[in-house]
Amino acid sequence: MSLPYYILRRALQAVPLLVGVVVINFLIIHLAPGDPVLVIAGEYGTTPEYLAAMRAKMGLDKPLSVQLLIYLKTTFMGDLGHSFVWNQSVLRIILEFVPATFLLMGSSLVLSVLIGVPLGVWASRKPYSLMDNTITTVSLAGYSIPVFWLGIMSILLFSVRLKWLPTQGMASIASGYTGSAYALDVARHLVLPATVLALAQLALITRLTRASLLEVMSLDFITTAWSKGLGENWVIFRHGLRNALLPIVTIIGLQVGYLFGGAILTETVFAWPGMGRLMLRALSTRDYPLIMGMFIVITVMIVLVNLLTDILYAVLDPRVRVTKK
Amino acid sequence: MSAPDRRPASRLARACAEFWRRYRKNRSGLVGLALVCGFLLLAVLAGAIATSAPLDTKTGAPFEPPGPIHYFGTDDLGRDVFSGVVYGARVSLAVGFLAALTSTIIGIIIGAVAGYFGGWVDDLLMRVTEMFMVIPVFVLALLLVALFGPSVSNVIVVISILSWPGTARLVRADFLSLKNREFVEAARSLSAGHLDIIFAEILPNALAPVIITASLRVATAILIEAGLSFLGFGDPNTISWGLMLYWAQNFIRHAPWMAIFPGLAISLTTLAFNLMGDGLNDALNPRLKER
Repeated sequence: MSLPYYILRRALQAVPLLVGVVVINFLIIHLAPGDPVLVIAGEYGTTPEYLAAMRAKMGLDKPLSVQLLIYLKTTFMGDLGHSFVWNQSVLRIILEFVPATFLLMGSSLVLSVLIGVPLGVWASRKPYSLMDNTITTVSLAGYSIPVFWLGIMSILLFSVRLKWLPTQGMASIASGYTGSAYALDVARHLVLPATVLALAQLALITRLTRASLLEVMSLDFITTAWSKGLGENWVIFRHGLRNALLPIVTIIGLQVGYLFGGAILTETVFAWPGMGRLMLRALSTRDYPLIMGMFIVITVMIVLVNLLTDILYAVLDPRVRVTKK
Repeated sequence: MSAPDRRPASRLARACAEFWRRYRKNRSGLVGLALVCGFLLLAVLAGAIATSAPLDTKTGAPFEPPGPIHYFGTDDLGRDVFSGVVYGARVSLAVGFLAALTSTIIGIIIGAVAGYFGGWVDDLLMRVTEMFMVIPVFVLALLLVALFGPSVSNVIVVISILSWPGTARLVRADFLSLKNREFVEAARSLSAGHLDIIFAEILPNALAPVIITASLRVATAILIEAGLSFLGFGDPNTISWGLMLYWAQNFIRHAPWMAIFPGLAISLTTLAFNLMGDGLNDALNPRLKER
């Protein structure tokens, strides 16, 4: 199977997935207690005229199946509705908060790969040795600590006790920083939340790298590499790790959804002005159109990231295109 | 499969003994098991261990630091933090066990049906499974609990509905490889029904990875419940570790003990189930059996 064809097929497979997500959203709106119009319009700032107009637009007098089709159509046209709390289009509000969350998630992901992969390699060198057991157990502990509690504890230690780092927000308020001073300020604010959010991912990546590398290192081509008299580093990194990293790519794709959950919690602890905080604000004001819109946007992002990792995998490993369905 | 001893009770006993022999070797697995038992005892005997009722606001002055009377201090309303942590074990373990159990059952049924029948049934169920794998569990759980009301039972239902896909995929894969084996053919030729074949013949051979996943799922469910409660979307009327952290948020500088102890409890419990999952993996994973 050629690469473009594979990419096209994967992209087409993502379409029913997206439809399914929108259908779930539709079902939630209709299963939620109360009038769906109120659910979709929000409880505040609505007038009877608007509600009547919304009823007509959603086709509430028509059968459920027609309503679903209408909902699918408006959603896929990019119309996620209007938030009365903000008096703005839902999509525009969300896009405003996306960059902060991306900065947080992206840097924590980079951090976890940069630290997790070397740790995994180190652990796999001598399986079941003291070093391996230590790394494996510590990473399991990292995986078990709730991210929000870790955040609180890091605030206690690094800013209350040691006063090293800022803990709230994304930039110093009223500092008037511009250019590189501003970037540095944001970076200082980013250190704690990004590190905290990275830890759970780091644990997973460490364990996976270790397991995957152990498996690859027992394959025949590695034995061949050893028998050619190649050095240890060369065999591990050039032959072993290159192949062992492939499953990691997939896992990162699958973990993005999990990362979003962690981001919501981390943003709450550190008052980071991203989508997590937006979502909590939407929930507390019962701003349903915004809540539903955010769910769709987040899921679409996850689908896209999964698509990208699948394609990346296929580019890196041609075998996938043939064997993996 | 051709065990000479046909009495099920002794076969089970021997399997258990064999399992325990393997499990015992794994030190971290044993630590996990001991911790799990400890927290279970804590939950069951909460009434006897706690020094006061968890929501009693008159146990002492507000913000008393940890000491001989209030082991973990008191919170902003004078509630005893130690008693809260003890009683909080009930919610965490109940949510963890029930959500893991329900989602595992859902996963087994969907995976078994997909793998056993194959064809369009498999295609359809796997598309649905893929969709649930893409959905951000915590985000949707938050949304559903906010919409349908934050009660312990709702939290359990929501986590169960959202976390079965992993199990379904594991079970399906095992069923695909097992359904054409001789012992299944034998059962079929004795005109055993589909249900019999699925549950009595194939499923017992596909259970090992399911059990390992279930143990890890308890940990995940506990973390999700704690996260929801921490954000203020847990059951506000039942004490839980997440709820205690939600209360603690505004007093972190002032009374750090309010946050430290419930968080430690969550971490230790999830660590316990993760360790147990590792131990189970070593004891049950057929690929490692030879070692």
